[in-house]
Amino acid sequence: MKLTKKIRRTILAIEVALIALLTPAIIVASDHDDGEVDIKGRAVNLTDVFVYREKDQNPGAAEGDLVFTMNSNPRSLARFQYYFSTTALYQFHITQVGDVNSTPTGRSDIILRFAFSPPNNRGMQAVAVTVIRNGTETVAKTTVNGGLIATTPLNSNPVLNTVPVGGSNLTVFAGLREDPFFLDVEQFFRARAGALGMGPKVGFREPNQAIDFTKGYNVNSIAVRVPKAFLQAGTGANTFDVWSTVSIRDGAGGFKQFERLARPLINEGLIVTPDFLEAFNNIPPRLDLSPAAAPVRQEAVATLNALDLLDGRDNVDPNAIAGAFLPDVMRIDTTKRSGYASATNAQGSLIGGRLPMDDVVDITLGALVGSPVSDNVSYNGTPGNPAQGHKPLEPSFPYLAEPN
Amino acid sequence: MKTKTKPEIKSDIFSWWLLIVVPLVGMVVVNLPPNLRFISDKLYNNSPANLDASYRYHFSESLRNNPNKKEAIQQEIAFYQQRLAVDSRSGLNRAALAGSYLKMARATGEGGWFLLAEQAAQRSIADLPFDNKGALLVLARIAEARHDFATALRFAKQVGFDNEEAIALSVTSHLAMGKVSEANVAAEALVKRIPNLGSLTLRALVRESQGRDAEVLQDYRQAMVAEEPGEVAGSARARSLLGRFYARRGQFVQAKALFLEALRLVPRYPLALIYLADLETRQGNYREAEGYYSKVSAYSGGVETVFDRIVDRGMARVKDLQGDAIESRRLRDKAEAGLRQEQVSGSGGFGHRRDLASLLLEKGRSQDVTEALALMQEEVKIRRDAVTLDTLAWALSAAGEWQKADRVMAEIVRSGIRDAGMFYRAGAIARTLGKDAESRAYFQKSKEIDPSFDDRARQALGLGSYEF
Repeated sequence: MKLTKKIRRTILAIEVALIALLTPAIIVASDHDDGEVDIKGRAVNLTDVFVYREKDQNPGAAEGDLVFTMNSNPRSLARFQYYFSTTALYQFHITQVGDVNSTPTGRSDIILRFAFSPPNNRGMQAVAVTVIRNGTETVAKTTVNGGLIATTPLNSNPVLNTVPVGGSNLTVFAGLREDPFFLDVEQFFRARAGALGMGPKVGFREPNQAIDFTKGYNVNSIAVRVPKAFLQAGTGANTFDVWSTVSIRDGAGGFKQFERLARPLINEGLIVTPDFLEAFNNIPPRLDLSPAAAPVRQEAVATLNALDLLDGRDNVDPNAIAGAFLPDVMRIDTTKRSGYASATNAQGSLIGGRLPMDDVVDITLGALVGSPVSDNVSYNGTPGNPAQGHKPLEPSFPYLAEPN
Repeated sequence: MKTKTKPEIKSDIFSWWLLIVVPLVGMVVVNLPPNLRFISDKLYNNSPANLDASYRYHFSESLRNNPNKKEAIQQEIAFYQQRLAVDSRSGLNRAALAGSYLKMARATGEGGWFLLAEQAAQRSIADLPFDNKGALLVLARIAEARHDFATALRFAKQVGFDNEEAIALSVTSHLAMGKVSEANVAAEALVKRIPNLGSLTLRALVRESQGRDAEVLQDYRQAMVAEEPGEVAGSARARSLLGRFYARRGQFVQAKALFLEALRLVPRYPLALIYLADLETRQGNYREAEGYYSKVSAYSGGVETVFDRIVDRGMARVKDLQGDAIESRRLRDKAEAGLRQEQVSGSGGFGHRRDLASLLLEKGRSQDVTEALALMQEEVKIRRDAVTLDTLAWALSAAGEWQKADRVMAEIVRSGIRDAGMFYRAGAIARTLGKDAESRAYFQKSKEIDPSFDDRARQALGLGSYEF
């Protein structure tokens, strides 16, 4: 049988095209290992907590939904796959607050707990979501569609898991995102050291010179969209205190709290002595005002006193400020627009939660110093200064920018 | 006619051939990568058959995604260099760069990276003299690598002994100084703080130096329960150290399985390769031993590393055991030249005095013994761990100073360490001094610790054979 050149070429072309079409795409994630024994596992180090009404981040979002975000694994390098700890518990603690002006109790009315399985060969980890109310645990391991709740590996579209738990559907994301925090860390250290008499007195750098230390890094992020009704659970509470913890295995079959974080800059900004910081990390907020934590509080007040002098004036009552910031919880009054400086209560505490782009450093420094102070770093950065500027936030949940 | 039809037939045959072969080749090409991945996954998923189930790596599925470690650290270095190009006075970024250099030094064994790490850390501290724990810890680790433990501990103290890395440094430095009680206190504090793979491995090392064997195994098991994905090097290191523990007790099957498991995690891991080579030597598998030693050198790509002398000495020992005295001597001379070069060049001065002394004692010439003893008398001023004291006792006995050697061995025995070679040496020294009952007890202890401790093992340790 004879074949014309044209037919032969056509068949060959079709075959080549089919082969190209059938070739599977190869997505290779990478796993970063630092080449030495990691004593303090970075996977269990918390960096930031955000709590906000979703509609204040995205006007198109549903009324009444809140977004909780907990970031960990500081200084994650670009293009490296990092994992959540498979032995730790990542937890949001929530107090239903009746009176927005009340002192935080540090009582965990609700705990949202996240535990992670070993990664599969695509770098995905299965997630178990546990809701604890009044000591009763409800565990969810599958989405509404019956699939596993999964993390988002590097170089993948975000996996948004709809998780039915406790009578509500929560939306859960877990994976790498760009670190949204922004601060001229090094200059903050210099300013703090100068204020504490440990170094020369310096202020912050000009906007065109200030350096955003976290630019270019990623973090492991857990974000969860929660209907307010789920948090209220029939109580009618519109205000909630939120803090995050990481608990690790204690070697005796149980868990112990290893890290705690709520407001930015409170523990690592005000507490200088490492063992005080460790003590602070190991206690719940309800003990922040206890006699046992007095030395920690005294150090925070001393640092506050020193920072107050950054503007050359002793014009802040450190005890009043300590009262406004301690116990360390992130309070959110859901009847008000979210934002770190959007509202305060009668005690001077910030009660607007925290949005990803809030300039928490400037807000906190302003409160501590008693007059406007800025490290001159912002989320979007200063035009012409390459040492600043994060990627734009995503328009939809989980909102944080794609990882570097 | 014929001349016309032949090309047509050929052309048609060629066309059919193309039409058959192209899809076949295409299918192979299409299916090769996933199949290769499947095959590699199968390999990655297979721990050595003899490995105790509790020592198996839990995260095999993620192993395939591991990048080449050197390339990963190189990327890290490039990242921090880029940041420093924007802000050359950034103490924190330079400290991070110093940390990356140190990782590279550890990963490759190339001394130049240590020096780069040291310079970067020093400059970092000059730029940011406070809140700069990262740079201080790098300097502490470099001081420790130089066996300047006092300086290492001074830097760690500056960081604060409530910092996990500083506590870890306190464990390793005190262990090296022979201060086992202090090391133990630090290790307990570290595990109490964070019972993870790293801290439990360190405590296991401390307990091993105290002869608390059951607790050592308990710690390693707990460490492997606590290990995390993404800390593959730590997982490989823990298994290598545990493998060495088993090897020292004559449990060669488990030891080898652990070394192979470590190599499954980090395929070119020098520590595991060297331990494997030593193990094969002990078992008389000389070709296998040479193969593993060769891999250590091959993987360094011809660049000088801290492993070179270990490999040369190991190979020399193999040649000795094979009866090839000429090649053995050549390799020892090569190792000696390298160690002497390091002593004089000051290329980091990473404390290889003990290695040189051991090498000289292996050579066994009287003029070498004098030098070896002098080297060890200097070394024990800064380092008094059991291995260092054992080398000193070796030098003392080689120099005929048996009483002093006996006293040194008594110090080792008091520490609680369980090491067949050390007890055998203690027995040999005691016997020379006419303390027969004591000697017998030592030899018995040696056998009890490692029933397979034989002539080959003794030869490797420079010990004679004593019959009773």
